[in-house]
Amino acid sequence: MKASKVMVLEYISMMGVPLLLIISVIIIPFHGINDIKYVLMGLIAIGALIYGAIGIKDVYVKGERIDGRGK
Amino acid sequence: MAANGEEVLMNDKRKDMRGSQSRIARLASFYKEGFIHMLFYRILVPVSIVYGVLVLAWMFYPALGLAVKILTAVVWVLFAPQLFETVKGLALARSRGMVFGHLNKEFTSLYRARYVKGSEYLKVAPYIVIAIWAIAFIVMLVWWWP
Repeated sequence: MKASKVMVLEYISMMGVPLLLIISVIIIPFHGINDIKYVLMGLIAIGALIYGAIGIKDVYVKGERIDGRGK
Repeated sequence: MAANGEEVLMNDKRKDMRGSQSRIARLASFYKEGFIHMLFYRILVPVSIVYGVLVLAWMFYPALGLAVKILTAVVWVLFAPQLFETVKGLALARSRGMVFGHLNKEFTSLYRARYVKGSEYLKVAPYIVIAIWAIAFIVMLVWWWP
């Protein structure tokens, strides 16, 4: 099966956001360094926005498949 | 409507005997796990967008730290079923359907003997991941502060 680009992006954000959250917990001792914390939180924010945007199309635009197949 | 199952599923309304595919409540009667997964996913989608915007706002207004922490906890809980199902799906694919699959027993036995050896350990993968997720959740609640 060939994955669509949207699907790849969805999977990256779906696994990336939890991974980044876990990393942010692991590096709690280094939270004093603002740069690290801000970069990580920025990536989490971008990932959450991508995940949400694709999800809206995925579940709330009813009956349409996001990769355009089945039309 | 054709008797051909494929055609029924492929028509524009995406409906078959089970009703509309978008009506997830139908899952509750026969597939609790799938229902919880879909329900949490539907709640998570808008929450995820709000969370993304809030975190970006927090970068400019650090006073929003408490709100970020509260919403992080909410997102954390909502992500749990997604993470579990994702790892489960990857284990299923990785083991070629031997783990978490619903294949005929005879076929499974022959297929495993010939192609897939030693993939049993993948059975515990989703549970390990969800355990790490739960431990990290507690650590986050106690010590994590944006």
